[in-house]
Amino acid sequence: MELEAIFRPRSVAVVGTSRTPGKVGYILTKNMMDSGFGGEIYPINPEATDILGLRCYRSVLDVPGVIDLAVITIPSASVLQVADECGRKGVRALVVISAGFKEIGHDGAVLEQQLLEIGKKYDMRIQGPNCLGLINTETPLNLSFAAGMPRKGRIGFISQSGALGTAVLDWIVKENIGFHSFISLGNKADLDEVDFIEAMAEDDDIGVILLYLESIEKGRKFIDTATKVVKKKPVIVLKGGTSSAGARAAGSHTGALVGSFLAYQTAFNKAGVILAQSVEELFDYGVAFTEQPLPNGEGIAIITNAGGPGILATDLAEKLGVKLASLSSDLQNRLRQSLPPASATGNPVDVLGDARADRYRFALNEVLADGSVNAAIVLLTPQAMTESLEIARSIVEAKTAVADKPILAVFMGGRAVEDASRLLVENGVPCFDFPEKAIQTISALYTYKRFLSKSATEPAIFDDVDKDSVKGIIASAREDGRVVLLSTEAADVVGAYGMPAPANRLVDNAEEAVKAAEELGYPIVLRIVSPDILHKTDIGGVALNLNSPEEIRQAFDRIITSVSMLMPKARIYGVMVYHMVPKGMEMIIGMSQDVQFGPLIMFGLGGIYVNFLKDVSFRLAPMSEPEARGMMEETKAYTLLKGIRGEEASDIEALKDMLLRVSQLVMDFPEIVEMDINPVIVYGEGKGCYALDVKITLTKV
Amino acid sequence: MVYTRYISGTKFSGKTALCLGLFNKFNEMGMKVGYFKPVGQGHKAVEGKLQDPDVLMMKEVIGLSEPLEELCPIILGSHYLDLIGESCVDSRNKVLDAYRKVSEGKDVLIIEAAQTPELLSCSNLDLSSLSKEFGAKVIFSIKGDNDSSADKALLYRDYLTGKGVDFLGVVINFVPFHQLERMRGVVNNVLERCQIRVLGVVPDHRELTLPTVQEVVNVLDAEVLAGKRKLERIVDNYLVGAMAPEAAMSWLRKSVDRAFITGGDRTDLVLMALETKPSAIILTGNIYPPTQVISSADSKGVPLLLVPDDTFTTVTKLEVLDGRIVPMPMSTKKIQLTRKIMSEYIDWGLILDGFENWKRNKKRMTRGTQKP
Repeated sequence: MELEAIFRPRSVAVVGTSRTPGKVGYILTKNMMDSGFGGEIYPINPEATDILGLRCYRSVLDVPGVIDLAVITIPSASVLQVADECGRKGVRALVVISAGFKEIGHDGAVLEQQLLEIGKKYDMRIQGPNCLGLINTETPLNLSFAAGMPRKGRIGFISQSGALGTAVLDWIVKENIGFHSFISLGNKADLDEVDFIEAMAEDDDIGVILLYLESIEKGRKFIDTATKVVKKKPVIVLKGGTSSAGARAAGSHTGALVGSFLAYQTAFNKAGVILAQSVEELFDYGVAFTEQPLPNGEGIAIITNAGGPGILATDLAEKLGVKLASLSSDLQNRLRQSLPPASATGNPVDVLGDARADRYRFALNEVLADGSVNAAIVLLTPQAMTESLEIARSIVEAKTAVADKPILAVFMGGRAVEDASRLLVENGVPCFDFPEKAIQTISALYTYKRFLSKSATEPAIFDDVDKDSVKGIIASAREDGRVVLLSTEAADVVGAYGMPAPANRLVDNAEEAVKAAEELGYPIVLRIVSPDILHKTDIGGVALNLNSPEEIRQAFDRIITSVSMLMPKARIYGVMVYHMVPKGMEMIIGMSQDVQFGPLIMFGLGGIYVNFLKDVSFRLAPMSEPEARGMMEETKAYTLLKGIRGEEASDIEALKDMLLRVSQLVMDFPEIVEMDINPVIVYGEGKGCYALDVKITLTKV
Repeated sequence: MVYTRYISGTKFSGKTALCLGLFNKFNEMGMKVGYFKPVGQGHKAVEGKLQDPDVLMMKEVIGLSEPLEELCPIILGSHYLDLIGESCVDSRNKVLDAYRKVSEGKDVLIIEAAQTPELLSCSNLDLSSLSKEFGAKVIFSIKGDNDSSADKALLYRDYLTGKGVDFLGVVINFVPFHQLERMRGVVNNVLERCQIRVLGVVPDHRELTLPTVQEVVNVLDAEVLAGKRKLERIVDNYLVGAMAPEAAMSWLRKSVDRAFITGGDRTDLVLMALETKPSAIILTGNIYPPTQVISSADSKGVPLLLVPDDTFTTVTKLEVLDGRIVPMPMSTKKIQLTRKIMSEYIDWGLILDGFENWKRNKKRMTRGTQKP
């Protein structure tokens, strides 16, 4: 595996070690020794001969044996020299704890660049700088500032915030959660989240990869890697900076552009990455994924001894789309036979407040045995007679007996359920203190299951496209010093890619407009062409339904007059003449380049009110056929497209075709930074659609 | 006598640029060239006296040895009628005196007219009076931004020739790209029909008329936090950022060479703006952004300017830069561009009308009264 030196080094050097307790170098050395690491530990410090009983060396070059991994915690000014020594020594990877690099500004950025160059020179990978180290319970090794080691488990955790990581480590120990490894990313000068996700994917001891991220720099690489990794094991991300205030804070924290959360959500959906809403949720999911199987189908059963929590759980389940199993009448009869008459035998199954272990055991075994139930959630409120510990034991027994259906427990309360909760957790049954978290977690299990069953599809490629034509149009606009294409140019671009757009002419006087009208056929539309005018209808720049040369002449003059009056400074390139198409349903297809993830494509209900209705869905290009279909189905407008109130359905196939062609266009031409087709007029099934008004913006050179 | 060309025109029509171009051309031909602006206008006092920025610029760019009082003997403020006086003999003498000194030893003299041709008509020191005094042919420059340019040209030609001016022709200046064909075609034809000679149709070069980031720094008294090597970039309009980052990004992507104004604490907007490569980012309210933002701007080559004022005050100050007055100093790039444009788009044959004759006559006569 690529990062063997980081995950399983045979020997570790601690550069900047110290004899003074409380100092960073001391803590790291001590933690390494206490971790149970089986390989050699080489403290490096020119001022000492031994530390904590270990022989101390002046420099890595003085160490007789091989050094796989070196951790550096000396002041940034001295790091380069040490890094170079490590390179010469043949160290395979560095963990640079030292701060004072890119995060402090220009001078630090220069230092960081130089550090990177040293790494490249010696083919030495670098974690950090400005990071808080790593822990691996499997190797084992502890190169972090956490006091104790968590117990062994299958959770891998990668964090862009070192401080958050250290706090989490302490919390994990308290909660007794099993853990495999923790990586603090630091400044991500060399190794970033993608590298570590790949490494953790290869490690069979890791069952789930959790991440705290504020920014992702290599968006496309992240998606490609995550898509592959997710097939092997779940990847769950807690994203910092989703709100605009948060983004501001994150930007100040890392100096990197955080980007729109919408783009992240779309990217994560594409890759199959699950989003967690809080630190607690991140680890709830982590534990559930490593300890419990995935559900084989829809239908969960809830067993509760209190009506209230059961209702809350049911509400959230419906909201999140988690289906409650419809318990068969057979099952319900069996339940009714052994439970008190007042019990509810529908779903949730209410075993009543005075239930002891026997009722819980019975109900749980019954529901798990039923074919309609694929997962179970056991809710418990500690009444006076509730035997929490015994009930916990019965849950553990059920888990052992039924290995292929996930079981989550919700034991509400504090001291009364403490021992029981601990028993459950120690035996691999996630135990929550409130019902909502359990439902949220089971929902995540279902989401991952859906990702797994999605088959990978290639993006559609059309070969009836005219790339040269588009290249020419772009070149011509650039020569004119423009980044915004004229309506005529934009219409020609989409036309070149096989998308139906009305044939058009650009004219600069009324007579030419009349001539063009004869060629294109009445009725005619005239539209002012100016890169400076965005909302042409608002300033009288459009004339519709012109049916004679006289109407055209009058409309031409009206347009020029109106525009000159309302926007005198606008550059007028002429007037676009095109044949007026019949009315149809108006949709919008748009694209905006996201800085991290590339072309973000939008689909939805169009027309002049689109900015206010916002019935839109998003996908990242390149899009495959199922993705295009999926994005249409997500919108409310889809219902209208299918045909309502006896109206015929619209040509959804044609719309899908246009979406895929737009996807190909923006992939072929990354210089298109924004694009809007509003409206796309769509007609009945088999009658096609039109790109009626196209706006394209290019990147600046 | 000195071969003289008197350059006049409507307000902000590019007279100074034309003077610079002509000066260059005559220089190239090996002539000893002089520059003279009889009546200037001052906005700012330099060392206690009003100075005309165009004269200051010409003096510096061309490297004129004459003192400013000789190059520009009369400088008007906003109140001048009573200062010039009714008889204005003193002022007239001052002008003629300076003229004599400036043209001493020169082959060619380029005279720049006052901001408008009618200035000082009340005192008989306007363009028509002075051009007759100097025996100079007048070149008139007009902004070619729409059809009315033709009518303006006719108005001034008739007015000036009516007052006895020797009117050589017009230069149509600052023509927007999409109007070029119209100016060269329709408008040119109309002017020919009215017997007005068109000496050149000069396209608008944005770099000449728009301020650079350095000029913005000067006007705002800004502190440059990043991008110190990119201050020569031109600034074409401003965008005030008070919206969501995605909206700001869309606007900035559509505009070329725009400057972005926002508060220093809006890290999200600043980082987003940096991706769209604006000419500069102006941070208001004296709020320093985090160091990573500064270093990001540096690595992307985008100047980051910090100003103490709030957004409204900043925008108001920037309005001074709107219009054709180029505050001192004119950048080298602009000067070179001016020279290049003038030589490319002006019909020198027409401008140098009678030059060969004059050269011959000058050789023959040591001191003559023949009009060049």
